[in-house]
Amino acid sequence: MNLKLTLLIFLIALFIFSLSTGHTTTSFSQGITALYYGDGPLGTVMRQIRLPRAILAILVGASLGVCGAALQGYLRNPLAEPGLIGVSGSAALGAVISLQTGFATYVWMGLPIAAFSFATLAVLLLLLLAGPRGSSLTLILAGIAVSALAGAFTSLALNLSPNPYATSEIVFWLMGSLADRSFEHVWLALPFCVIGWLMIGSIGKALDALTLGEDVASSLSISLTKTKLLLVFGVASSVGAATAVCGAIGFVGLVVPHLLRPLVKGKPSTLILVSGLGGAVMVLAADIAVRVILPDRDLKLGVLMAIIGAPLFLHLIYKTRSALQ
Amino acid sequence: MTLLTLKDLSVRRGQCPVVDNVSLEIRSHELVGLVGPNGAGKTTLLKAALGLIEHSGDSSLAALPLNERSSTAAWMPQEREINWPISVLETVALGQLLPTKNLDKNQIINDALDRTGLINYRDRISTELSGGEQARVLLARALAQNTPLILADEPIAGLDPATQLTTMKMFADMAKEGKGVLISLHDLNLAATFCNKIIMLDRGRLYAIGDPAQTMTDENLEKVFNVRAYHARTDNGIICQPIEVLSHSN
Repeated sequence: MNLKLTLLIFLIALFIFSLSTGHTTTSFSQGITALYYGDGPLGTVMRQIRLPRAILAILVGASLGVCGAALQGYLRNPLAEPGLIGVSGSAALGAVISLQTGFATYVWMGLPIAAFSFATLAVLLLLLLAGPRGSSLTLILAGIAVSALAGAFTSLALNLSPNPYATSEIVFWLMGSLADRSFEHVWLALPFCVIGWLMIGSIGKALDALTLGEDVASSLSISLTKTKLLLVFGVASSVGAATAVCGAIGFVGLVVPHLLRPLVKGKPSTLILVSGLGGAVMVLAADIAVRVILPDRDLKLGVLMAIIGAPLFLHLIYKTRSALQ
Repeated sequence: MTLLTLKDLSVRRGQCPVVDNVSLEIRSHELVGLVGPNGAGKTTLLKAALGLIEHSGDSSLAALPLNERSSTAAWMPQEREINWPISVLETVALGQLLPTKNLDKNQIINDALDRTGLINYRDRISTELSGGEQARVLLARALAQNTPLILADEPIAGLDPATQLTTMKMFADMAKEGKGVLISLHDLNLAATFCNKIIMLDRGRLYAIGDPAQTMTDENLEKVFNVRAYHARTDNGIICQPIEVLSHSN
């Protein structure tokens, strides 16, 4: 069957399953009825807790998948991921500072706004370091520098926490989660995610051309500067917004494009959409898993993702290594 | 018809000129061999002509708006880079990435596959082919761009003798059909046999330009390459086989 259609069917099935999963046990039909017509507690749970959570899982997963595929395509490196250019690390720093300073408590939506602002600042710093015309290698190096800087300041913020409660709040936030998110988070993230996807979607052809290297792409009338700007701002917009609302979720942007690449026969432009769907499926499935595995312990999505993602990644490296020998 | 004009083209790395005031023209029906020892500036000259690196002076190609370059000249770099496991057909089809007017894309792609003997390879994965086969795939990709001008940096390096001859013959045929082809190469013999014009570079400067008989002279080869060559004329063209390295350094 068509890969995109298969992933879409998976996604819809998981979306419905996600709506039926949680503390309040409910049958699927009861849940859907309550979603539309219920004005009791079940209706509130469905509309204000589970629906935004499932939508956010899709937004976050799709953003990570799309950006991972695009970055790997642009950098011609299967080990690239959205965290590489420092956007998620900087968004996390913004969130940590807002928690530390109380901005998150006193300002409406203070945390995601701070996180997103820092992601934007990170991109500006990145472009300042790498230059709009710099090669992909300078972009990686600048990204590592920005990530390291964000990581250092995040550690400083933790180090200077006024009390253990603030520290644990920051640490838990950094683990990444979709619990207790509302439609306000959805409305905040949605436009930026969609803008990011559109920007990245527009560079599909350029990524295909880059398969043969920057010089050939250039001779095919591809503007490398424009491609890089669209990529960087696209990643900043969608991953910045995703990290702002749910914390840093690792491995999705790395593993999903890697897993799906053989199924699209390697073509970078096709991989973008497929990887977006795959990322959404993965995050939605993981977010269901955190509620099913340890329903009473608030298992963090980012933690589960790392527990699943790291061994999967090791397996991929092992396979790649065997293929290269 | 003139397809490429370079006027006083120079490229500098710091204070050092890598390409120094080169002026030349490539016309249709010309297969031009760009020769010179390692470090003579062949690759740099080609890249500057394409507008891929910063330069001073004029290149008619680099002066074109970006969106017109892909329909004017195809470029095959020395680095044979295919980064993802895409099929031969997909790789070659990248030559038709941007829409061309009034032309049948599939026909052009099939012609390119046919010319390079890759018709039966179309569904193979490019990255799984041998180095020589990949070179042919990348050449087919450049041909699929269907441009009047083709620039290739050492397109026959690393190929077996039969493929080298077939490739040179193909370039010569394309020139006969009206295209302009500029290739850099180290094989002076193949350059002398197949090219109808030779550009000899020496330390970034244009040392000699003209037909092989005029340029591949003992004196020039001695001065530029520091070699002595065996010369002969055959029905197929000129033979120019370096046979001895001269003891003194030029």
